[in-house]
Amino acid sequence: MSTDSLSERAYQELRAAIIGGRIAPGEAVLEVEVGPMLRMSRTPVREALLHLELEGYLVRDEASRLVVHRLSAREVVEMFVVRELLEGEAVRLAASCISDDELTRLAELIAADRRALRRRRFDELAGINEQIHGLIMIASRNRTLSDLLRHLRGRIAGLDAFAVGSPDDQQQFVEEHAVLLELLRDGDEDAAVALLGAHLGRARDVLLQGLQDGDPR
Amino acid sequence: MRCRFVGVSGHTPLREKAFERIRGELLASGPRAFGGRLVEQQLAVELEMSRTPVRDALRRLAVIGLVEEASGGGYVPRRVRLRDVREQFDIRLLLEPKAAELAAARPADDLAAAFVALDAVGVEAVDGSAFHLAVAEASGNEVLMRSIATIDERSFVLRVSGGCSAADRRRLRAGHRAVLDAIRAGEPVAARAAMREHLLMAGGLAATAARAPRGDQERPA
Repeated sequence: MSTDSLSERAYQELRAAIIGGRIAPGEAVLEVEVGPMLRMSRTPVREALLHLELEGYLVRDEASRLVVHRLSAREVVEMFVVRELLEGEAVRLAASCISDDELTRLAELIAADRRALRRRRFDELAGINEQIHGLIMIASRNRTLSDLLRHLRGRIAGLDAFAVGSPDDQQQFVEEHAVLLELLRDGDEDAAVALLGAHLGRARDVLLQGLQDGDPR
Repeated sequence: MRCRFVGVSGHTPLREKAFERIRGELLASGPRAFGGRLVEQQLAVELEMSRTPVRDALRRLAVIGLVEEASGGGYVPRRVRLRDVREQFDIRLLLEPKAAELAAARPADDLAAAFVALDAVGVEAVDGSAFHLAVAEASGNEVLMRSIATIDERSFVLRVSGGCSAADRRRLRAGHRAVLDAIRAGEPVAARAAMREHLLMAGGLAATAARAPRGDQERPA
């Protein structure tokens, strides 16, 4: 395997570990430890870490070590102001640009959402949620927008509303995803933007509650 | 001004320095920067740095879309496309009027430091980017500020002939002044509208510049 695809694999594996909460907020991610863990040399690991840092998943602490970003309540509030602006626009654009293939893929993800909910696989929900919102960003066909949103979502990693919500919250999020799919399919941009606004508002409140309760997981 | 924002993500200083120097040259010379080709080894010699920070800086510039990989190895400055300009201004129109609105809604006491920064930049500044970043900071929403700074960082090289006349420049400055006045007066709705109007005008100029043949001219807004 070339260095590029190795570094891509390291990036994907580390990102999934952060989103899934296997590496906790505040925990250090060290080049010397990740290499042996993934059985890779330092160069691809180094590139993967740089990539994760650029996207905001990792930040440097006072000792200049890379650690998983930990959100504060203030940052959650600030971030949702920005997410609502950007994701609202992404949904508005997606309502007219989304392709049939993307709609099919979205329907599959929502089916996976429902399955995970039924089987009480709450650990899977956060990952699926990430893919659903990611797909809508790409469907907006605005690269600046999707880059910026990926950057923002990087900062929310490891603290997904799905991971901290009650089963009722999770059921509600999944249902909203399903309605969003229908609205995108119909090209009803106003209703889709309004639904997304309500969806994000709920996610913000759940996250804030989770932070207040101390343990985000 | 810019350094305060870029430092936020905490890159090591050397890597940061390499990034800023290469980016500065890309903004100053556009497609002609570094002879039109950016090769790690040559840049390391030119910037008197080791190859590692130069390599990291080039990757980062590729991620933010200021350079693209060349077929024969190394990178070339990315060409400005009209579509990029439109996309960027669409996003700025979402974020920056919100920043102006939030700034105008803050109590005067909270804005004292922001006004010092805004006055230091001044509405007459030729480099509009410093003004826009100061408004972003005055919003008090750090995530919003960082998002605006991220777009600013990847703003394309719009030094193209034909675009900005002295009259255009006057209108751009008047736009800055209107935003600042509304923030100072504590009028969120007016601040939002003033920023929006100013960006629509700047976006129009930038789009014209992106369509025109390459030359030398500063970045509007």
